[in-house]
Amino acid sequence: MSAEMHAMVGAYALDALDHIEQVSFESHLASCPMCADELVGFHETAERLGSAVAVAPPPRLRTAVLDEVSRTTQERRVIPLQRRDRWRRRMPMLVAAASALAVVSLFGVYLAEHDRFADEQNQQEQQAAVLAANDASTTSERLGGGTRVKVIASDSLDRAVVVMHGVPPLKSGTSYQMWAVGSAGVQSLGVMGGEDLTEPTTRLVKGIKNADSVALTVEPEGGSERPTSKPVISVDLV
Amino acid sequence: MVEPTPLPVEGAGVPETPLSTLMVRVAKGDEAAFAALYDRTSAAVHGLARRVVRDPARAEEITQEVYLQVWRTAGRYDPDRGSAKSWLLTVAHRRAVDVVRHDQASTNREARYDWSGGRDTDVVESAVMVRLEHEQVRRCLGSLTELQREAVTLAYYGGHTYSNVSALLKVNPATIKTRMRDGLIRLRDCLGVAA
Repeated sequence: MSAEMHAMVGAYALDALDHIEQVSFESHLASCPMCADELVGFHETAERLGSAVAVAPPPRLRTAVLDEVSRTTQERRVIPLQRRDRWRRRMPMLVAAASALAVVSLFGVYLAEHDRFADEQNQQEQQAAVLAANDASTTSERLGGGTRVKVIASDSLDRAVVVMHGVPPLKSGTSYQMWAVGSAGVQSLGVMGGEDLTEPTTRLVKGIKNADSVALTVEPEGGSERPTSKPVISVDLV
Repeated sequence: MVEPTPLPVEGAGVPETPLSTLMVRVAKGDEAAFAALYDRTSAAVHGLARRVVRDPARAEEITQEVYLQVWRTAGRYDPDRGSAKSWLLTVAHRRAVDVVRHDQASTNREARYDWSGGRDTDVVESAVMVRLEHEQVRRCLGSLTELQREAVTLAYYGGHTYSNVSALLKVNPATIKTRMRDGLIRLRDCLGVAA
């Protein structure tokens, strides 16, 4: 099994796995420093393949990008990076031999992947709990443009799994935001950027027990306090 | 040892600021560093997106999205896990592949080609006969076996999954996975990329 997984490093580096295989390979990476190590070299190799087909974009794109960047806030650094910084500070200055650096770097990869894995696993467990809940109810909706949505909600767990197929791509500078809509008002269930729109897009959301429906709106990048546009998707909960 | 703030001018005999240094500055919100990063990497990002999606307008959109994502998430870049450029191109490739697989356009894109004829058709050729500007990459691709080369280029330049590649080439999926890895190992060694 592990050897079979290891054989997937190449396909993974080339983004040639389907979504499920990709997630399962990423879990495997957590326990396979050799894979992580090989992956670094493969990504560098892929970079060379990419650079070999370089074509300069039109100058107006540069203006558009720089303009947009000046109006866009950056996200805070993620935890694994900070944790590794702490490691580095503990290393005596400048004497870190190449081998020691390699160990730190492998350990760093392990930590980062491990955190991500723990996170994903936690998500998966919660999703499984929702799907298995006694009071789980399922609503499916087919919308125009080939979009399909399924919501599996459990009031007792106050959570729902939302599975969306064919969500239209986002224009840059915008995000999708999911909302729980109830008689008491509207509450944000989370924000998704373009990079989150996998096929299908699956989200575990919390805070739905008082909601009558779940809605998805397009918001300025990073999301809004309240919805600022009409929902592109709205599903009534049973 | 802090570098002076003004960025060295390219081609003026001044050593270029390493991209990883630019990334660190970008992560701190330095827009000038971001512009320099864009100038030095956007042709690769854009060219790769264009190669994968084969649609100039979509490629520009992807390029824009990638740089916005890079700006927002620059703090996630970790020099221990590879060069800044490889990180950028990894982000770009993922995005391009997502678009190809997600887009309705992918259906049209595939309809434009005759996928039925197996390994001798134009499609394989078009993936392999990419206009490679870098002689070394061309030479190293040439050093792969035919199956390794097709597996690597159909996935990387064509945006195909390995199961897709397996169907296209009529070769068992496990073999394709293995050839992708062998091919990358051989390419990596031929290009002298530090593992």
